[in-house]
Parts: sequence; C-alpha cells; structure tokens
Amino acid sequence: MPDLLANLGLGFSVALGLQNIALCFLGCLVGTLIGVLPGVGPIATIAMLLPITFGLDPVGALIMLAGIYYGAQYGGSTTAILVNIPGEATSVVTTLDGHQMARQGRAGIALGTAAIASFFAGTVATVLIAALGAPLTKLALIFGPAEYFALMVMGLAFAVVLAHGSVLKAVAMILVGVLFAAVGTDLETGQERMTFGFSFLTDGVDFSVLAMGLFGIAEILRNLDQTETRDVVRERIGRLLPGLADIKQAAPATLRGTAIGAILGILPGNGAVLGPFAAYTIEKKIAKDPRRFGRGAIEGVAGPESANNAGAQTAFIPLLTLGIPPNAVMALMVGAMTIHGIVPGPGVMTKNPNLFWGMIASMWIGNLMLLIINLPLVGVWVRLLKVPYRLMFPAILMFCSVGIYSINSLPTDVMLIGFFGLMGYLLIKFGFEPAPLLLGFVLGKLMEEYLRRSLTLSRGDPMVFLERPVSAVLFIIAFAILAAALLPSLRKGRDEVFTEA
Amino acid sequence: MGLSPLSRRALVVGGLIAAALPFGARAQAPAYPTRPITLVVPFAAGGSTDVVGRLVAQKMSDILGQQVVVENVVGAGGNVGAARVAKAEPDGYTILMGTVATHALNPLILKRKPYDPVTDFSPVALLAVVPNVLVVNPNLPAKNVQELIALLKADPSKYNYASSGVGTPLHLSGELFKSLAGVQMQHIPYRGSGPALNDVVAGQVPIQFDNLPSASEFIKSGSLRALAVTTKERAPSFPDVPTIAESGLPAYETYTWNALFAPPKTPKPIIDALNAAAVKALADSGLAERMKGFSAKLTPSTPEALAEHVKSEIAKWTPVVKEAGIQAD
Amino acid sequence: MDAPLDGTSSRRGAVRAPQSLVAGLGLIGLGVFGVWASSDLDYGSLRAIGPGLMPFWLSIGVGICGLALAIAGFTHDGAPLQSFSVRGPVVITLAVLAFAITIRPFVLGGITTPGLGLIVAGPLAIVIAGYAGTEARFLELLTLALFLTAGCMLLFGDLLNLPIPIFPTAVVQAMTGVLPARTLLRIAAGVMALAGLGLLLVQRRSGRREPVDVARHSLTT
Repeated sequence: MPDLLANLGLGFSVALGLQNIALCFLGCLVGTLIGVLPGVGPIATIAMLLPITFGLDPVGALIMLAGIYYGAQYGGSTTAILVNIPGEATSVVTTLDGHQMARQGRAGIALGTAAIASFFAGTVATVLIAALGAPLTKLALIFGPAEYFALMVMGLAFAVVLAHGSVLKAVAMILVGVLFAAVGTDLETGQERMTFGFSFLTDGVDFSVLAMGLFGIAEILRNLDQTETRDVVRERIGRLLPGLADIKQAAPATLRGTAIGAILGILPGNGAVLGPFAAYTIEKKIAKDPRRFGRGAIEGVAGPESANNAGAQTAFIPLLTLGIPPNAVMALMVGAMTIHGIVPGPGVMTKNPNLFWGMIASMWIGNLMLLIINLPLVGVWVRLLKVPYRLMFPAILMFCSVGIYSINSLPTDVMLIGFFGLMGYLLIKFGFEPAPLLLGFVLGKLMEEYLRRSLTLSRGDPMVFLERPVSAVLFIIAFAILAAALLPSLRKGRDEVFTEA
Repeated sequence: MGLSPLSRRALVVGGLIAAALPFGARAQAPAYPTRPITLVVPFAAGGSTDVVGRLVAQKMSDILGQQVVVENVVGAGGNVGAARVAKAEPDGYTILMGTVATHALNPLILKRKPYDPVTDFSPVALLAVVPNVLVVNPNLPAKNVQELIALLKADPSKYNYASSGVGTPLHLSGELFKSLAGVQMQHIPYRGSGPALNDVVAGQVPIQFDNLPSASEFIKSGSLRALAVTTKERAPSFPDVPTIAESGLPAYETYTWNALFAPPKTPKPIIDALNAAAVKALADSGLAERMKGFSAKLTPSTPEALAEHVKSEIAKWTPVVKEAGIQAD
Repeated sequence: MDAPLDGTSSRRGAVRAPQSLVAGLGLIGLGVFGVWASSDLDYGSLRAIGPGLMPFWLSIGVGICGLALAIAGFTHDGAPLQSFSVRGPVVITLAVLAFAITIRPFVLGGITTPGLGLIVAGPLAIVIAGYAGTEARFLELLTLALFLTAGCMLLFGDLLNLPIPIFPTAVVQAMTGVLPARTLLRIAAGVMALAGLGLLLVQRRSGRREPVDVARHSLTT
C-alpha cells in the first residue's frame, strides 16, 4: 500500500507538471472533437499527430496520445446519442437506448449520464491499474485461443439478448454479420474469400465503413421517410442534466458496468470490445421490466458507457505491462513509444517508472478534464438538434464521407458506405435491427481466428474447449444466456420468436 | 469548438498574414522539391516499417526544406500502397517505403501480380536492415538451436511455431529454417507479432520467429529465450545471442529491410536529390541513436545498389516460397 | 397454408405476414449467394479448417433463418410490407458517389476522373444530398456547403493534418512554388467563408429565415 501511494505520488508529480497538464488537456480536447465527428477515428488522428510529438518528451507525448484515445471514446458516445451513429465498435450499444432517449427529448440526460458514468468508471479503472496492474497481467496469460473462442461465443449469445424484437431476426442478423466478417483475405491461408475479384475487398470491410453505412446513412434515409419523429427530437429538449432520480437509477448500472468493462479490458485479445455488450445484457436481464430497454432506458446508457470507458483504461494494462497492444490504437501507441526510444515490454514499469505512473495519473486527470469539457458542452450538443433536419443530414453525410475517406484514403470505402446505407435502409424496412449484425461482424472475425487456431493447436480435437476450465465455464455461461433468452419465448407459444416482442 | 473563436474576419486576416510569412525562407531553395512530398508507408501506423518511415521522413523534411508527409496506405500485405506508388506520377512527390515483403515476397507469393518489383519502381536508397530472431518459451527444454533441432526431430508432429502472418518474412524465416534443418513444425499465423508474442510468452505456442525490436524487451526480461538471430552477423544489441548460421545451418540468413522507391521513370536528378537526402538523414547522429535503440542497422546505399539488392532478394526467396508451397490469389 | 380466408385484406390471401415472408426470401437468397460465393474455397478438416468452412455453414444458417421467417409469414400474423421511398435512397447514393469519385482521381473502367479535392467534392455532396429531402432550397444548401467545407478544410487539412486532398490536382501543380499549400488552404477557406456570409446576407434581405442556424452549425460541429 505505501508503495502504491509513493508510486501514485510520483505519477501525479509527473502528470501535474505544467506542460503535461496542457498536453493532457489538448489530447482530451482533440479526442472529444474527433470522437464527435462521425467517421474520423482516433487511429487516423493519432497517426497524423505522431510527428508533432517528436519534439516533446516521451511522457508528455504519450499522455497526449492517450488523451486522444479516451477522449474519442467520450466523444463517440455523443454522436451515438445525438444522431445514432456509433463511431467505434464500443458505442454501438449506446445508440440503442441513448438515441431513443434523445428522441424522447432526454438527450441532455443521456449525454450527462454518459459523461458521469464514464468519469466514475475511469476513476475506478485508474485505481485498479495502479493497484493491480502488474498482478493482473497474469490473467492475460491464462487466456489462450480456446478461452478467447469461448469468450466470443459468449459475446454472440449476448447479441441475441441485445435485440428487442424478434429473436429469429436477431440470430439471422448475427449470422449475416459473421458472414460479412469472413470477406477478405483469409488469415491462415492468405486466400481471398468472397471478394469477387475486387481489390478493395481484399482486406475485408472496415468496421467504420459498415457502421457509418448501416447506422449513419441508413438513419438519414429512414428519417427522410418519417418527417414527424425527427421533428419531435428537435422540439422537445427537456432537462439538460440528469437529476437526482436519474442518477439514482443509473448508479447500480454504472457500478456493474465498470466492473465488467474493467475485467474484459485487461484481456490483450481485444476483450474490451465485449464490455458494453455484456453490461447491456446484464442490465436488461436483471431489470424488473426488460421491455423498457431499446426504448430509452437510462441503465442502457449508464451500464455500457461505464463498461466502455473502464475497458478503454484497463486496455492500457497489457500495453504497459506486457508491451502487447490489444487493439489498433494501442498498436499505434507501441509505435509512438518506439519512436520515442522506449521499447514497450515487461520492462517499462521498472525502467521508466516516470512514464508508467505518469501516464496512469494523467488518465485520472484526463477523465476529470473530459467531464469538465463535456458537461458544459451538453447544452451545445442538445441545441444542435434544433438545426433543421434538411440542413443537418447533408452535413452528417459530408462528415461521414470525409471521415471514412480519411481512414484509408480509399474512395471505394466512401462508395461502400452508400451501399451499406441502402442495405441498412432495407433492413429497417423489413424489421431487422442493425446492432446484432454489427456485433456479429466485430466478433466474427476474432471468433473464426481463435476457433481455427485452437483446433490447429489441439490437432483437431474439439474437446479442448471443454477440457480447459476457463473456456468450459464461459461456454456454460453462453448456453445459459441463450437458454434464458430463447426458452421463455418458445414456451409462450413461439410467437415472440417470430414477431416483435 | 476549437474553431469558434476564429471569427471569419480574423480568419481572412490570418490567412493573409500566413501567406506573407514563408516567402523569405524560400529564397535559396532548389527547384525540387517545391511542395510537400508524400511518403507512402504500405503498413499500419505504429509498426516497425512505419516507425522507420516516420523517423526518416522527419529528418528528410529538415534536409529537403519541404515536409515529407507519411501516409499509411494499408492493405493486402503492403500491396495496395506499393501499387499506388507504382502508378503514381513520376514527379518525386510520391515515394514509397518498400520492404522485403513488398519487393520480394509478395510478388513471389501472389498469383495475380499487382506490380513488378523491378520494372515498376525507380530505386532510391536502401535504408535499414532489421534482424529477425528465433525465440522460445523459457519452459521449452532447448537452450540452443541444436537442442531445438533435436527436440523437433524427436517428435515431428508435436511442436508449433508462431509468426505474424502467412507470407510474412517471419513466416518464411520459419519455413527456411524447417527446410534447412530438415525438421517439422506446424505454422500458427497471427494478426501481427503482438498477439503472437502473447501466446508464446503464455506458453500456448512454444516457438516464434519475430523481429528483433519487438521481441527485445521480452528477451531482456527473461519472458522469452532467444536461441539465435537470423542475420549472418550477431546483432550489436544482443552480442551474446548466436546466429543461426553459426549454430550449424551456415546457409541460413534472413532479415527484414526497408528501402525508398519512387515511381518508374522518375527523372535522375530527382532520384539523386532524394537519395542524397536519405543518405544524409541516415548519417544524423540522433536518428542513428534512435534506430539503434531497436536493433536496426543503417545501410545507406546508392540507387544502383538497391536495384541489385532487390534482384538478389528475389533470387534468394524464390526457392523458399516454392518449397513452402505458399500461393495466394 | 390452409389459413382461413381473410376477409379484411383479400389481396394478401394466404400470406399473413408479408414482411416476414419477403424478409425470409431475402435471407434465403443471401444464403444461396453465400454458398455460391464460397464454393471455390477449401473446407479443410477439423485439424486444419479451410477458409471455406465458416462461410459455408454461416450461409446455410442464414438460409435456415430465412426459411423459418418465410414459413412464419404463412403461419403467424405479422406486419405488412412498408412503403419505400425512392427519392431519398437514390439521391443520397448519388451524393456519396459524387464525393467518392471527385475527392481523388478514380479509375472507372477506362476513364479516370480528375481529382478535384475536398473543395469541390464537399459542396457537391452537400448540395446533391440536400435534394434528397423535399424542402431543399439551393441558396441555403450552397451557404451550408461553403461554411462546412471551409470548416472541414481548416479542421481536417490544417488542424488535424489528415492526408485528404483539398484542392484539384491541377491547382496543386499550378500553385507549386507560388504559395505553400497551407497558406492556399487558409486563403481558400477564408474566401469560402466570406462568400457564405455574403450569401447569408442576400438570403436574409430576401426575407428567408433560418440563417442563424446555418452559421452556428458550421462553427460548432
């Protein structure tokens, strides 16, 4: 304990230096900005800002880059709530209830709840990293391919629960999502799959492209059809910040979300992506009236948002203690460290205590700054909803196009968002929900990879998934969730399986 | 947001002032370059090629007096970015950070070739050579290459080795090892060397071929045991680690290299200007210090030497790729 | 199938949930397509799963879901088909395509489009997209386009420094050595913002409403 305090003291003395505070603020500000802009992700931005950090000392540079990363997580939920566009895989869930709240004139409450829940989660996760970062690394090493496969199967079981309409349609969407994920070059053999000879499909479909199309463009098309609902959004604005009753309702969900997100974030195989989904599923399962979910339940914002942010913070554990990047942004951080002459790996904590503890302390400071930046902005964002829709949607369309283009500099990516937009429009018209598809897409790629790897390692013996205790437990949970989701509706005369619940 | 304080008037005034500023500095600038140069890095930001690219780009910007902007054009193992430069205007404003993958391995592996590594580029300069390393989980009872070979021969179907993906230089380093040592091990491809390292440290897979820079911290901390480096000479950063060649496989040599290429038919004066800037950048002591930090060996060269190098690399890898039976569409 | 005659909607006949039926048929189609698209891939064995195994079984799964939905269209009462509009999807697609082929040179068959950069692609996308709605007014859209493009140029090109083409390639080449790219960018953005402001004034004088929203939008987004 005294060790921890001394370490944190060192960290804060580094992070509270004038230059580092300024860099942290700058990072959070830029992060919020790019998070809010649909399509522009932290990857492109961090890559572009890397050269600017050359002149800084490594600690300051990394503090700023980390600020961009978690600032973008904050900003991403703003777009998800206001215009129903998930900027990142982790804010897909926030669109479900967050945007519904906005449609009911509770956009301010949703945004405020998201900010407060994220701040709480960030604080807890920071303490967790400081106290348990090193021992928690062991958890990362328990997880082999078989465990990750089980984890992904569990995630897909969550996706079934996620849907609030027909279970059958949700399952179909998940399968379509996993099928889409298979497009592109096969990892194991290098063969092209379902690319039809198009070179722009060799690397598969980018998540942002699919998300911008299915959510961003499709949402525009849907809104153009229904003039009434979108006017409701902009006329009724209501309270700006959550009241005591709202906070009371959101608090338990925030606690649970934080715990789930923090644990999943530690896994270097990008487990953080599951956090919000898992949190949402749990909230929906334990709620007295699950039917509120998907119709603007505040727990459906607080739980996933806290899980998202906790995961974003604890994802630094594998990076800082093992040197293993769990996702593309963290891989970029590895590059940034290397450029600054720090080789990431197990030695960083002992060799560069300034960097390690300084970054951890700056995360908490950054979270505080984000709260301070974001709460006053809630008013601005909400007023943005007053902009007439006939001006709003061309603007959204252009931002989506610019953002998508900036990721890979490929015009074909921009065309694809048009294609997926049309597809999303059709899906909505036929009563399908795009969220399970997107989840299937995110998990599908990882799932197939881990399945094939575990079977190659076990030389084709499928028992490997049940012989390993962690994987067996995860499979049992997955089947329990599926049974809980399917059985009641099957018993009730099967109608719910087929039609809207 | 950041823009709101900028009133429109201030913006215009600011624009005019900014327009007036840089004229003084341009006085003695040469005819080339007169605008920013795009350095296409065909791999994701943060990887080792990207890091080398950014460090060199920054130094070259100082030398050329124009910004050298790194653009990551990712896809198809580097082919998308390389193909873009192969088809770009030969005006010296679009150049490529090529590697052993884009200019030797991919063209050999792919059935449908997006470009010819020899005729579709004007070589500029070889920049750096990065050694690969053979690492094992510390629990594997093999202390050196010979013991590993004995282990693999004793049970040919038991062992796996990890690499950062199919057709990567690391995968082929493993295949070359298998064929020269006459052993069997199952290849397990990963999405990059980070996830592969994780599973080797955790013991899911016992053996890995990796870039020396990305594995170096794990070797120093004892989480991995380095059996040998893949270059002909030992790496200066790890003088105690032998080479595979000196461990009984004298013909073995692989490494990853980075080099600058321009589009085909780029005029000689432009190539020479770029080459001079690159060579001068590599001579910078600060850059050398940083590159040494991750075990890269600087190898400034003439354009002609790079052309020779590409040809010899293709000749070296052709039989390995054939024997490993790797083919992709 | 032997559903009693439905008196209220005689045109539907045996189909009790047309939405489910058509959705199901669509999924079956997708499943068949998936099986065809992955048919050239190797399934492999359990020990070394080939690239074709997952796509094949996923397509089968999608097909089965589709079959169940289609059958449900006959056995369960459900939603009718919803009406589709054509204008929105067509115009929005056109807007996206216009942006994609003008932002940088794009090879389409034998034709290469000139790379016109954000300064053309942005306004083009906004103005075209605006006509997806029924309330489009040209001047208003043009004003929005000018402000937003100027803002985007500063934001993406100047502040964030993203490698997005701003100007037509011909202009870049012509201006080489005359003006640094960044200065050109700032001047152009300033001119566009001024033009937008001028348009705003014109519209205000002619008695149109809403200009305040446009301005605030461009600055807060």
